[in-house]
Amino acid sequence: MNTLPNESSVSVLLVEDDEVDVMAVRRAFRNLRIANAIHVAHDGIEALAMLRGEAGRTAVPHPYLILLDLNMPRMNGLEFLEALREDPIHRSAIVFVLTTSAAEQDRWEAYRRYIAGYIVKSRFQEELERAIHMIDRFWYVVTFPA
Amino acid sequence: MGAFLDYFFDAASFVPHGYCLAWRPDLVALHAVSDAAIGLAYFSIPLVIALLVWRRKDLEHEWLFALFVLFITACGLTHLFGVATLWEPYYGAEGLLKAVTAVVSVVTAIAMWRFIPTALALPSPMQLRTVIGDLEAEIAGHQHTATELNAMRAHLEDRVQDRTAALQTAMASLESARAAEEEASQLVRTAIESAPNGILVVDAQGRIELSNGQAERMFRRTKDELAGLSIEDLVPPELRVAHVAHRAGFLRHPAQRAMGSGRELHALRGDGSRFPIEIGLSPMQTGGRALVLASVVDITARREIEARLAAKTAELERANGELDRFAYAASHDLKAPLRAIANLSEWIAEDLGDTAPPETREHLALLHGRVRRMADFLDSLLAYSRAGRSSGDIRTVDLGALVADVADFLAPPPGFTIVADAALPTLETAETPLRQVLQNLIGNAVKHHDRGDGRVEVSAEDLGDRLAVTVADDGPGIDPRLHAKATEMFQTLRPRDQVEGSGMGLALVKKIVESAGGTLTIDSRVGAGARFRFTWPKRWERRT
Repeated sequence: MNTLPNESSVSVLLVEDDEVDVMAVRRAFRNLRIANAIHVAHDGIEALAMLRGEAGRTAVPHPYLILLDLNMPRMNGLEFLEALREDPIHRSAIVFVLTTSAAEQDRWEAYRRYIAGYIVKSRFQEELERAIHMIDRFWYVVTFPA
Repeated sequence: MGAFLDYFFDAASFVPHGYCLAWRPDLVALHAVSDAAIGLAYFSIPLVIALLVWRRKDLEHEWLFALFVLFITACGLTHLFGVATLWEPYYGAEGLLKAVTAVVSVVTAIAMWRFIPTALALPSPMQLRTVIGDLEAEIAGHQHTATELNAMRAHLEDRVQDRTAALQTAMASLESARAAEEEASQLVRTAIESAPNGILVVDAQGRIELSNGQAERMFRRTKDELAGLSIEDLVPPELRVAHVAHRAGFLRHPAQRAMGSGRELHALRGDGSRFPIEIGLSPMQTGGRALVLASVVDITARREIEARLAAKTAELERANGELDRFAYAASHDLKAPLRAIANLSEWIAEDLGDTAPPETREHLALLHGRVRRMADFLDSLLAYSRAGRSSGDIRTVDLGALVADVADFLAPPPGFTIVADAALPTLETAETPLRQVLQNLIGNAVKHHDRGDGRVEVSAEDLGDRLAVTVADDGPGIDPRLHAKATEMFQTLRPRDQVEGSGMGLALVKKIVESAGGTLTIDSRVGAGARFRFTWPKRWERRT
């Protein structure tokens, strides 16, 4: 399934403050043999800097997809989404929320900011792998914004 | 004068009348006796007339009788003078006397002539008798009438007596009625006076006509003060104009109702202070006059209690909100590291694979189990903290379908049956809390069953405004002494290593059911299965 150059060229910006969660995503990629590059930001501010290539960071190459945690220090997921949707260049970015919060309020607030999907993290690795598998299928099928 | 008297009364120059009679004794005697008899007879006649006139007071024309008396007396005197002049020649005096008599006689004669028409008009005794006869007949008639009248009067008197007696009876009963009425009105007065509410009776112009003690204490005024006031004097100044209009409106459409419903009403005390009130108005008609009875309750104490209650409620809501946020934050913050532990232990097991010693593999499995238990526990805690608050949308829920869905979700071991009664109803309710309750009760029945071929039955009973749902199993049952403990938080009746459980299931069910206004009861004995019965409202009221 990784034969098409198109799909492996999509890079992933993972915005996540918990190192074990980052490891879990990396492990899922590895287990599913997904070779796409993963760029990690630990909060919203760092993520914005990485998207814009600011603060000495290399810009995340296009096309990209964002996996976003909600509970983070400094700038949380919802605040990041707010800033992202106001950014003239990156406002059209595809974002999947990957969070432990199942709260109705969080879901509503996230979808209101035009996310592609809201995934509640379970504590089981296999469930996470199912979600990552879906995302792998997603970029295989969907044409990204220019 | 002396000469004049001498001229008339001097008899010296004349001869006595007897002389003319030649003193013949027989002639002198005849004249003397006759004149004396005539004179005396004449004198008796006026006496008779005078007596008659004096006695008969009803006689008319007295003047005529008087003239007659005068005239006859004068005639009598002339005759007596005639006797005197037989022997003494007082012809002057006799002449004067005759002249007087002549005048009286002429006057009397004239009077008589003039009296003729009157005399003719006088009824004769005959006529009078006829008249009298007629009158007598009339009198007889009158007497007859009088007799009849007397009879009638007697009859009337009888009737009057009867009526009087009847009237007295009526008066007596009226008196007793009045006494009863007095007693009744005394009762009414006492009732009004001792009523727990302040009572004011107000006329169409707003004048206070009556007040009771409670009203006087409430408004801090005496009865006399109140009696002189207009009802507007008890209304705060800024509302007086509006109150007059409201009062007029009430009199146009009088009906028993609460005043100013939905609005905060205040009244003015005698000392100018204000207090919150509630007023009930009743229209009254007395003697054709429209009155209004106002029943006033001082709700100062109630307002204070309400304020305290509102403060308590606000405090409670704040505390609940805080608890909610705490539970949310705590469970999230606890879950994040827990998930990391779960992941890491899983990866260690994965990475070690078969190379790990059996003891290590066992420890890793135990570690995993404890992590899972803690995660379940945190989920239950979160669910419990939220129970009864966010209940989701209200929709039509088919209870039978919901039970089937829950059974499907729980995936009981093969051989285990979950039966929904065919008569389970459909109701309008919030599905999520009801699903949580059924899931926990049916889940418990499955989890705690001692055989693989257990059977759970769900049935419902209509209680009018509520539904009683029963989840019955044929499992090991619960000792009645432990029923209360079963619904406490963090309580499990068996070691967690034998049956996994947070100990929150029944506590959660109880909280959800009670938040919905229902009750949860357990009917179970050891070895006789368990019946969990909860009531659920048929009409769901949304809670915030």
